[in-house]
Amino acid sequence: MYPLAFTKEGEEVIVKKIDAGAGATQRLTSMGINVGSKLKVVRNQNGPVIVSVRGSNIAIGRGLAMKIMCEKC
Amino acid sequence: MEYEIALIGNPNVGKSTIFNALTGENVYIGNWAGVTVEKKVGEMEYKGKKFKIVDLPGVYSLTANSIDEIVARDYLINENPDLVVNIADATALERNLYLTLQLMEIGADLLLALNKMDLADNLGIEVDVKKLEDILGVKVVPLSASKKIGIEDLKEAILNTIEEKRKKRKNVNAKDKDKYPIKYPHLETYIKRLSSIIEKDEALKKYNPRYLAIKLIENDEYINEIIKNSKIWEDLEPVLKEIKKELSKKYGEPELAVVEERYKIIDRIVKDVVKKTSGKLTTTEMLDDVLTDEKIGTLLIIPFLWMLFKFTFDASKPFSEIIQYIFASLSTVIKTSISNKFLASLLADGVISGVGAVLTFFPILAFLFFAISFLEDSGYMARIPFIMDRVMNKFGLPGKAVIPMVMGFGCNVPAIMATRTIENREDRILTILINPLLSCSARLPIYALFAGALFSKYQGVVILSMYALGVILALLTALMFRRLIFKTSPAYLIVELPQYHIPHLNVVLKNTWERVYDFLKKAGTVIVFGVVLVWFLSVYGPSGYLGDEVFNNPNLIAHSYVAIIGKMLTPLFAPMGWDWRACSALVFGIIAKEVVVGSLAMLYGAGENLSNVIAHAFSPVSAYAFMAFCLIYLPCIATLAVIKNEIGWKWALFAVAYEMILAYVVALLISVIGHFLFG
Repeated sequence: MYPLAFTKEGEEVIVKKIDAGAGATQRLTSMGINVGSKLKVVRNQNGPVIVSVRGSNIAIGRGLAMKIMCEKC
Repeated sequence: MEYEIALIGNPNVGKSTIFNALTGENVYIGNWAGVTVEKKVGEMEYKGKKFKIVDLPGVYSLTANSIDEIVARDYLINENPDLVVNIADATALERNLYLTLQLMEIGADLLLALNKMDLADNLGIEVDVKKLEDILGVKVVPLSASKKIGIEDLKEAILNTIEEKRKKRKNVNAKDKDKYPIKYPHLETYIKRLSSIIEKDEALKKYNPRYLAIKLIENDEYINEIIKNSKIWEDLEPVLKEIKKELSKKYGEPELAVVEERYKIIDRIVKDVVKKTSGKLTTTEMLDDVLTDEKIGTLLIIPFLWMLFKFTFDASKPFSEIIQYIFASLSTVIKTSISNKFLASLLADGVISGVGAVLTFFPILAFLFFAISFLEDSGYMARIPFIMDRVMNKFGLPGKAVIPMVMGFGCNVPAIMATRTIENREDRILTILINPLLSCSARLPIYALFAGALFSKYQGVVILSMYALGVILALLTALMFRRLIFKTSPAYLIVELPQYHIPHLNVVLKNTWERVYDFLKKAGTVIVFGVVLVWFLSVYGPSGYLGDEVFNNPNLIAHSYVAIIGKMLTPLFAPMGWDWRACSALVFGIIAKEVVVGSLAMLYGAGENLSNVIAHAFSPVSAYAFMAFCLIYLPCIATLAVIKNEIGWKWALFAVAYEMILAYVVALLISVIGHFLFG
């Protein structure tokens, strides 16, 4: 298990755990990112991470991307 | 009899296009009670029936995570509209259905409008509408609002759905609480146990018991509070505790149980209903390859912001000048045609110039909002915070603060209005508070006058240093307020990057008009009042009415209240070496900063040779301090009015106090250091 921020562009991962506060977790959830979602990493340079999830692209601040734990799928 | 219909959907699903297509010209824009979230209500007529259409804020969910979500939820629960039209994006049905399920939980009478069908088609996404309808138990209308396809079908479906429900209700005459076939298999037993207890309380009748039960499992603070204050809490508490314990074992946390079950259902629906065929590279993917690249994207943002800035301020300039010209001639006409001098001056120098001051903002705002709406509708706007997030975070600001900050160099009024895209309230307040420190274009004439009079060799550098000072102070203030007042980090960026598309002119124009109108209505009165007040202080003195000649006679205005205020301020500014005329000019600057120049000319009785007079009245150090003071002190009346509108009087007064103190300290420092260095 490793943070979303450490993934590579093009990698496909499954979310295993979200360690953020209730507010951020709820926002992620409502935009389609919950434990068990499949993410495709579209962009991961030094800034926020862009993932493609459930048909849309979501940008996630780097700090938050450190708190989303993933596994390769 | 008028039916009430609410439109709800995720952001970027084309909700406003549909709202515009359904409603005509009569759109009422206001705020939801108690908050600054915009409320739009329109009217529709179809087959002789009248419909009131309420546009709810764009939300992804109905938790109480943001003001938008609270507004939407409270409306649905308390107003109980005849029909809720849920607008979903056919290209991202998976995510959109999350809101749909929650609308079903709440028990709203629902109709699903599946927008962007044309785009889904292009992307190789096929949605089986009939099947979706059967699974959800809700009428589904496919449409492509931007191409005007399916709008008539939607209108018909709205009418039919409402009338069918009316008939059914007459027959059954009971609340059909289980009206939707969607169930959460792993949670149903718990939901039943809870709702059977909840049903016993008459006071909770306006809620759907199923909704309350689900929200209790989800640990929703708002619903928890309601239930804790109800009669049934004693009976319910042990049951709820037990349920939560069981769910914790299975899901880790009971909140996660509901989320997981919702998405399980959605996954199954999508599997049945959506077919994806091709996977070719889309325009959005190609554009994003470049526009969101760390290096190229950052470089490209500069020309984009520059264009936004240039378009807003240069393209609007001729229109502002025309308006200024019209109002100037109007003043002259009034002064010559009204014989009562007092009345003529009140109208011409007070009211007309006040209204003129408001209306000169009109073209600037119109062009700014046009440009912003254009960028928003194209999809590029969402990429800007993505690119700037890391840099802005270093100063305690959210990525979205970039746009208002850039706009601030033109005019702080539209800039502050542009902060509305920042969801987090603290982030937004902070972004607004630092904005007046960014040197707007109205301050340039002051710099130009003083730099020309006293620093003729280094004009450019001196003027540029003012802009730099503004930016540095703004960023330092942001850092300081973040540490001392808000004590939180900026909210994490979580933003959807929508598909790019060519903006629709009518959507852009309508958005522009609504925003400008909003400004004129709200800030207008405050500005006119401020201008009239300053007029009053100029033509009156302790000896009474001085006559409108004050504006041409420096000896006469020396007896006005403005002069007295200036003289009272002089001791305070003695360390900077400014005389009472300079201090009085600062009072006039409250109207708009560029007024300082005209006021100085009036107070010194100097016309064309103001530059010479200034060169004698100020030393280079006192002039530099004066320029810095003008940069920082007091937001102008228009800015103040907008701050008050956006975040309330308390923060507006705070901004005034902070900026006055900061201006004084900075001017004093410049004087002290200047005297030390240059004697």
